[in-house]
Amino acid sequence: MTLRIPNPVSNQQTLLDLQRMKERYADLQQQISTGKRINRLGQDPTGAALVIDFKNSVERNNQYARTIQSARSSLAASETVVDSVQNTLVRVMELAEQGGSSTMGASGRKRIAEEVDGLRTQFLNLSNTQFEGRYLFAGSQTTVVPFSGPAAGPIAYAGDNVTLTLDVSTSMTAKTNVPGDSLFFGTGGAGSATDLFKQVTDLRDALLADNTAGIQAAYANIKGIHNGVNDVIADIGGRQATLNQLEDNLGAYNLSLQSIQDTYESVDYPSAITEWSRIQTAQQAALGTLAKSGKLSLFDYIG
Amino acid sequence: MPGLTTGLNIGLSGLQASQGALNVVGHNIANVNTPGYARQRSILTTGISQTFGTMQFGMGVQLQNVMGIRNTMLDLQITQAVGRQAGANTRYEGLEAISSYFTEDGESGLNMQIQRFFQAFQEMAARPEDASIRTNLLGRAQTMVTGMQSRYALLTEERRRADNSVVSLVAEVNTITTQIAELNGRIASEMPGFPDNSARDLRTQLLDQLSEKVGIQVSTDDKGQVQVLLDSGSAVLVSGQSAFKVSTGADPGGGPYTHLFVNQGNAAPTDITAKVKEGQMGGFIDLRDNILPQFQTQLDQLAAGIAGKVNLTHRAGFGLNGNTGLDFFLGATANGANGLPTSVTAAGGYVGMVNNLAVNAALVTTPASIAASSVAGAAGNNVQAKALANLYNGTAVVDTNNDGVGDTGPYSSVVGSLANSIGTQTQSYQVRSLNQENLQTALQNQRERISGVDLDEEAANLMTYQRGYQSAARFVSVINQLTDQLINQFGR
Repeated sequence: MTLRIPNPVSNQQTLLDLQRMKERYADLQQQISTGKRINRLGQDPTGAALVIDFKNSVERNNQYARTIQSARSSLAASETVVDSVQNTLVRVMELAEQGGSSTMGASGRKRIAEEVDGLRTQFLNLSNTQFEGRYLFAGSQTTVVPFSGPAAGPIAYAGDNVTLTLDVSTSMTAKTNVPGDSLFFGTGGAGSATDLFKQVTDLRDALLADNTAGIQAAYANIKGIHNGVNDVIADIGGRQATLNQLEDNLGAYNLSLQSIQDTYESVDYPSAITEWSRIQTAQQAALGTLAKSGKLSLFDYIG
Repeated sequence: MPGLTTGLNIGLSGLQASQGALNVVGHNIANVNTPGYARQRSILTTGISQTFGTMQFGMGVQLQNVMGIRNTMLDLQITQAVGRQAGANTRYEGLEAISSYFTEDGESGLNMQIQRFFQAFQEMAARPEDASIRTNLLGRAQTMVTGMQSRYALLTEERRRADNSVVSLVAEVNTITTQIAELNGRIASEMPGFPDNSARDLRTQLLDQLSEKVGIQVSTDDKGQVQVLLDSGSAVLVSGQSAFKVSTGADPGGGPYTHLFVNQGNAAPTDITAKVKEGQMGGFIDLRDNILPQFQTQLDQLAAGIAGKVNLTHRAGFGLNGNTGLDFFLGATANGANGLPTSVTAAGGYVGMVNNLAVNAALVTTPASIAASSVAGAAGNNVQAKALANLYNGTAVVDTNNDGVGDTGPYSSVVGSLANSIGTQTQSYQVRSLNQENLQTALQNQRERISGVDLDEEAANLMTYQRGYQSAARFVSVINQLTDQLINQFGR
């Protein structure tokens, strides 16, 4: 027995195939024109969820990179100030040495005392440095003037001893400040041998009073403070180096994340265009066949 | 020995039979493109013989019947495939319509908006004294809220569209079932053995149409009448010559969407809403009542996870102005224990959370009240801002089993799984729709092979019956000549 294949059957089948081709054709065209592999979630549900995941990680790393920059700029500002403090201390030590010399007379010491007093004001200015609207050496009391006091001393601290931190990766935090009291008052606290303002004030007063023993005592203490300030500079430098390294790592990590994200998100142009032209050929062939079929009929031969 | 008049009658029967058969051929050719048409075949039988002496003489031919060539089983299979295809396709199209809004695309992606919100806390941690960063944070919070609400609204709109479609399908269903019941009547009254082919063709076509609108099960009784049930087998739409009309009404449970009822006889109308599974109607009801609400639930849970966690952490902190105990979202109306609005609870499945979501107006008017600090009066303290920013990386921040305790997270993975579940369902209904379409096409091809009109075949039949008619006519004319011979020429 032969299989009956009435005309509408073959036409319907070709029509359905044509419609499917057109649909795939439109899909590819959209992918190629948008450059995106997933234009609708149904095209690749797993890929769509993964893209969210990758974008999320990349964006999180970008934010950490911005936080690192912010931490670094605040550290850099602190470093500049601490550097100035150190340079000024060196000058104070030179003056103390000159003042402590046995060849120096009372009038000379008075002149030196004037310069030391000027430097004392400079320390006070440095200790109250503002960066982006916040006092650098006030702990967490960043809106309060941290150091103040009468010319005769003592200088009081209005900030707190809080070390501010920022999260610079999912597991790492970075210290972004040096609390003013530990920088300027040292380990001994206000009024002690490690109190920078107290020692500089003492030096000035000893110079004025022509008190050699006092000058030498202050000189010894200021030398100790100078060493402490050097340690702080080294500490800030170390923190910045760590941040730089972390930033490099984040950048490299992001590059590899983005390239993986790309494989899910972006169209593979060569394969998309190849398939596009393949479908075009198939479509033309199907259209040609549909147009020619049905031309043969027994009715053409009887009459 | 039959006489010449008998010969004339034999010739006449040949003429009539050929002419009848030619009519059938003509009818087939005329219906070559009619959907659902089953080709017809003339059944010719030889005339009852007559006895003359000991001999039996054939008495010509008669057109005994006109049979439609159809396979009822195949028709029923097609009807069912049509319903399933329409159901899968409706679901696919509904999902497709919303899916593009959930792709993660640049800054407008849902996860990006949530991430930007939490990043603003991170920025605030770097400069907690800065007023412009606080204003920016509020802007991002508002963007996130709007992003969630617009997506939620889109789903609601899609549900409403599905609801409207259900209502408009009801009238069409009722028209078709009434017609089927009428055709049942015509078929029941046909003479046994002489099928009403046109009524059957029309009914097959109507059943396919009905199945496309609403999923059905069809069975045939001994009189040839069809009984039509919903595809779940729970309600009768057509039984014999009566059609039971579907009516629309309010949800007995108080919901906002239309429910469907069938009134069968004297009993109270049956609610069939949840029992329509396939066809466009089944697809729309499933979208409206099951598929789309599930995504809204996920959005509600996500919003509750964000608002609750942010509120609880924010309350513990202090603003630049020393204010504490404030909620970031929604302000004073929030519950104590979970930081959510009083109307939104874990037991209630967090329903309405997205719509309730709003940034606390007290913070909008006074951004200095945003709590970045863990102690009062320390402008540079960023402990609370960091804690808020770190919520974004936290696991177990979203409660999905409605026990009030977070069980999944981080937020990005919840957004990811939402996108994934929309995508997966879209894909699966697309595949199902394609499969049913393939099955339906295969079955329809099968039906065409059995019932379709083949023009070559009809052309051959046309020639055959034409020749038959010509020969019968020739035979009549011979008998005529013989009669002439007998009457006019005999004995001259």
